[in-house]
Amino acid sequence: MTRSANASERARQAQDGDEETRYQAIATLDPVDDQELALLLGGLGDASWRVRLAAVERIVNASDASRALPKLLETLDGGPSASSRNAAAMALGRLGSISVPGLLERLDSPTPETRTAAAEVLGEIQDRRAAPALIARLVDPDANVRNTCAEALGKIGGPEAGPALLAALPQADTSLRVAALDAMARLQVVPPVAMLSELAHDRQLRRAAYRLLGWSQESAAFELLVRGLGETSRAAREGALAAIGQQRTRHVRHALEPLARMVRSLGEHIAHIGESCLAALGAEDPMVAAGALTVLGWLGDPHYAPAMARVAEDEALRPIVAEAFQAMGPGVGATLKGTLGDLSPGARTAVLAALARLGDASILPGLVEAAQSPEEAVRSAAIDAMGRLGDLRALPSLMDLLDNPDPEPATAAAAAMVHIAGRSAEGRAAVLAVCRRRGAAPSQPPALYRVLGQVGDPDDSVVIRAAFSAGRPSVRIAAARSLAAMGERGAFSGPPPPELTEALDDRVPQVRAEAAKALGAIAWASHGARPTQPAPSNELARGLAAALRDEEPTVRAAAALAIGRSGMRALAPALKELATEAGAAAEAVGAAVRALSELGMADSIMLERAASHPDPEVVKEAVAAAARLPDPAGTALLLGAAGHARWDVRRAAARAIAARGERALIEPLRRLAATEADPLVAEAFADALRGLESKGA
Amino acid sequence: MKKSFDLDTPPLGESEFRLLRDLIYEHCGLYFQDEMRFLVERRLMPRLQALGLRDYESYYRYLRYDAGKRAELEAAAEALTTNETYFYREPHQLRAFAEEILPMMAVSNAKERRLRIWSAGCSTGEEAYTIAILVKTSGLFDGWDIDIFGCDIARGVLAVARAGSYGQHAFRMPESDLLRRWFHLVGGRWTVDDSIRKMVNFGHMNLLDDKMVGLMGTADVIFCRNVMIYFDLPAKKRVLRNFHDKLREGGFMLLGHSESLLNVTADFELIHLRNDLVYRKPVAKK
Repeated sequence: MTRSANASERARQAQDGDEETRYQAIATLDPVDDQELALLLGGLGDASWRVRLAAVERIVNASDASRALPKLLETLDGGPSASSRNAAAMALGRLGSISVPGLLERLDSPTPETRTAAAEVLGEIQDRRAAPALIARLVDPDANVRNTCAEALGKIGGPEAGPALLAALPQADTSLRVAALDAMARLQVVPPVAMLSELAHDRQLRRAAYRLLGWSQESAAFELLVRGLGETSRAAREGALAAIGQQRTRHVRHALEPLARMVRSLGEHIAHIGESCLAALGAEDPMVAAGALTVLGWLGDPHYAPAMARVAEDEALRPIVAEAFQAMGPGVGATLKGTLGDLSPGARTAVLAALARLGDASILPGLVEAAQSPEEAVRSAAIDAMGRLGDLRALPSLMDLLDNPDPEPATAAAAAMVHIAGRSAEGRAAVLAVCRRRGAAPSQPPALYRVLGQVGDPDDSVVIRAAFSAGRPSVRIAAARSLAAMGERGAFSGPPPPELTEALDDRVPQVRAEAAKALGAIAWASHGARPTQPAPSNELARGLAAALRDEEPTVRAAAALAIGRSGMRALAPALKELATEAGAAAEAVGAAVRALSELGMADSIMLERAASHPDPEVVKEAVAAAARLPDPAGTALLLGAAGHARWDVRRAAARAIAARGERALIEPLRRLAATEADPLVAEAFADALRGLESKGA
Repeated sequence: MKKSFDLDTPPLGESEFRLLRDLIYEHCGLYFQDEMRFLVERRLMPRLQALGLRDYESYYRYLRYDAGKRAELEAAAEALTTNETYFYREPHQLRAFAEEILPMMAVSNAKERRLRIWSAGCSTGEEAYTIAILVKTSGLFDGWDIDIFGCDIARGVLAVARAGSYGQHAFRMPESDLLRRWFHLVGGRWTVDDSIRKMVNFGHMNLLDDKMVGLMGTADVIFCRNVMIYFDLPAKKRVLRNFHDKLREGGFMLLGHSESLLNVTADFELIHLRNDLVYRKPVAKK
């Protein structure tokens, strides 16, 4: 049977009494055919939502959907039912910018319903061409039109929307004010606090007015927020809480301390505020929950803690829960005993970690159990919390974890032990005691050497050096890293141990690389921040020079950096060779450039070559080095890099220009700051410009 | 939430965020919008701790150049995409699946008596086991060849999925009580019954890896819920092209509650079932 022969059957089915038959028929109609398009437009008014939505889908997905535009606009003007007009509005919104001219015309329709519908769809489409017409309609004689235009402007935004809404506020009626305030919240445009204070006297405006305080920069906003917390209306209180949550996202914690003091000084009202915050913890808007948690933290009543802990089910709110518990102090843990078991592993661990920060020792068994979790995130958070807790009774469990064949929990346990050692002299002594007891026996887990490297005394290097004879490469790697850590913190200086120089010949590339890094760290520790020209041992110089020619790029890079840090100017020619070697890995080339710069031996020819390297990290090394290059070639290189195709190179150039401090670069910088399209880079150019200008002032 | 509240962790600056985002995107096609910076910061922070790195710039360099960079890129992808999930998530959609889609499948596949369902981005397996239980309890497929395949880019979650052992909190939805008879309480944890377990297989897969996806057989239903949020538009199109290739004609695709194919592809038709909206691969016109 041909398609035309089927047409009448499809038409019949599209109007059948059975919903499913109509739905199936609509899905087969072709909007290219005028008759079938008419059936689809008729389907927009169908009694069933499924059929209406199916008709919208067919119309907007047609190959030439614009054909339906006049009819859709007609339906919007005066469709037979509210359902059909709504479905037409949905279709027009889905068609996007091609609907805009027709919708703008309808903003002048004599029928308020049409003007409202047009404004609503324009808001959905978010085409900025519509803003002037919507602004003009903020004084429409019909209240629905005015309100919808304000809402639409909130969605569309643009430079004129916020000021227009602000200007409309004084003369507006209450419903327009509500709509305008909500729209301004979307746009983050804030009226002065004095105006919001006035508006908050109106019962219907309170919620929106308080909500906007979240974006206010005025210190007077805090007083008004305190007023908001004491409101009798739940909506108004939640507006204030959302604003506090918003303020918290915009500032560091202590910036809200004046507000916290005001809240705590409310005396008899505190209990009432606490209860309303408790009710707001389940609010759908996460900002309200964030504000409620923040205030409950300030109030400090541990009875609120179980409900607060349950909010940690939302991953995004976990840090705020932790912060609130921190503000409440150590009494929190005792009230949470019955709650922790009901929480998901992630939430439970987040709460335990927060309690660990408070030093609540009663949670240690819970942490030990969570440290065995099959879920990595839970496990690592629990181990980290054991470190933060700083309780020495955690050491046996952490020592057991050092032996874990999975390097992740073992490494986390090592970090936790370092944390404990850093908290007190007693902690350090206890950590070193258990590690030394274990370290006296050969073949220890790699993580043990990590602890010794970060906590141990110079004498502990004996145990670490002995580990270089271990069969397992992971132990030799850990030993090298351990010596590097000792070097970094100045616990090991003087001539490098022979084991490290020998390790430059290790059969495992990663051992060689880590040995080179350790040599650099120890050299740095020996010579301080300003490298001199020490007389390195012949073995060390030979070893590092050989490592520069290693087959592994990571070894070459580590050796180059070690030479730079050691101040071995005699090896500069070998570094230059590496920096300009065709085909050398980017990591090694970048490291050679950096090392030469540290030695003060980078030259313009080498840097220009590096600046045209395909790897942006090499280019950034060249740019950083050019800041220190005394001749004009450095300036030229930096200006060239400021026009590089990659944003991160341009940003590095901005920083290098600032570091170079050459006032002649002010004019070029001004041009760059004005023309840079990437906001992050433009900001870096502007910062550099301010730096240079202030230097000359 | 657009702000990190962590008290003593290194902040992820905008610049480092962009560099890390681009690197991860190059590696596996996951794309993180600007507003996800603080989520990225929170999720990657344990990786910095595990590697003993002091800031995100060092982490970026590690991912670029370290010998272990490939393994670490996988670990980063895993940390960034692993979400806690639970049984019977999005009940409306599962009702549409159980009450409307499965009966259709029972008719359309009656001849070959075979049903293939793909849970793409299965995380720790709750979705795949929920599907298996719904298929089983429908009573429509007794004696059929059933294969439910769960895949994820994160290897760690697959180990949990294969173990099929869950804590109380995985049953947080009221509807999930109906599933409980298919679990045994072992050592305080709920372990999935073998009759369900044998219906489900799990495997590692990046949905953007055309070769890996190419090895898949055709599916009757694809669940891919709350996964597309990690892809930019070109990646979404690629994934959906792969799904389109692997879905049989008339097969269904179920996305997350807030996900839509609007302005992404017109290869699927939107079907308005009574319980929910789902997508379907159109049947070619003869």
